[in-house]
Amino acid sequence: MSRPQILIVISAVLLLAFVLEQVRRRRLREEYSWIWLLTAAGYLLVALVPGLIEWVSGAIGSVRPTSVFAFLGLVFLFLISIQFSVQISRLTEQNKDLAQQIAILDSELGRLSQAQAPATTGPDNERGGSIPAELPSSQENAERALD
Amino acid sequence: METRKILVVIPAYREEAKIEGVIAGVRANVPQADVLVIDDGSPDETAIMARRAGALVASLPYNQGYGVALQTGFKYARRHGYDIVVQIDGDGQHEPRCIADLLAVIQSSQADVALGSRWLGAGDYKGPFLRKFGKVFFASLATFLTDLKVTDPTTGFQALSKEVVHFYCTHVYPVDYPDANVIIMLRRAGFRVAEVPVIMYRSETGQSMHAGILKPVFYGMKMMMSIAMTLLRDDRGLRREGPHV
Repeated sequence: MSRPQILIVISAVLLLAFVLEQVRRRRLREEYSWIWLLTAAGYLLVALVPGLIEWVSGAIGSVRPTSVFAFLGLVFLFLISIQFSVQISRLTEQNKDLAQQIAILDSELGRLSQAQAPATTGPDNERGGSIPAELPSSQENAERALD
Repeated sequence: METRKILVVIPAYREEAKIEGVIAGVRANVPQADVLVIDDGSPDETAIMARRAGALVASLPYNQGYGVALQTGFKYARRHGYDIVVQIDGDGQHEPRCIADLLAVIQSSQADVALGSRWLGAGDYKGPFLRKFGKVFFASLATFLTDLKVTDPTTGFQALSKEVVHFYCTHVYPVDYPDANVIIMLRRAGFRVAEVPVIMYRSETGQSMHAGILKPVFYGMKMMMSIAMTLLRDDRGLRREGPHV
């Protein structure tokens, strides 16, 4: 095995071990670990399977075999960056929905607290029979949202 | 005989047509229990129909999957001091008459978790082949890795004791796919698990979480990783710690 190959294999194994350990410690969610694991596996494959690296460098167009690793590294970086952007987009949307729900629940909670204040009659009681039935679940939802 | 507070948790996504029937069945069979439907961001009228049927409803602001919905129910149960939680699916696949059998195991302290298995003789459930192969494989794996005979590792029809519910409220609970990996995790944490024969029906539309060819394969890979991680971790400490919601 040539020196670059040895380096790649060692790096790939270290990456694999590191990622698996992060998942084991629950710092990295299993669902987000796959792209890293596949990349490490891909590197190992290219480094260890005889002739594969030559085939890939030929397929790309005459580059040095060692450049193949750099190229694959770039491809990986693109892919992971795109994955991050997609995840951030999803999280942003969810964050917005959560914030909006909190604002609405907060407003309803304030209204309920006022309704339960001793002084009032009339307008509060005119809201109809559905309020008492809803009170428990709205309150639980509000309590839950404030967690 | 002491009365224990029981909560029936029904995770539901797009079940506006079936949820009323499920709730009615539960209330008829377990009138002493409270019923909580977790609406997992359904775009239809699931929550409205559930409220109309007399259940408590918690609506998640967006869809996050079966495990997250279930865990929401567990957190609710913990906050409100319930002693036993029954999980039952919102699509009518689980026969509510069997809830009593699951409860009996927990109430008599035979086990901390009662898993309702469709393969133990009650009813005649028959599933599609690829899924059956997967289930048999993971059932065998779970049986091998624990000291239990596991026949239905993916069952969503269960009864849980308070301690298990509190355990599930921590970050140990695998919200992605709570199946065979959870059973292994329970055993490693020292909980007692028992299987109980229950009746299940196949969903009429045939839609499930694991349709097609690719999905079962991905599921298998994710489950294998989750099981491997469960074996490498030591979650017994979390039994003693308080949950962090």
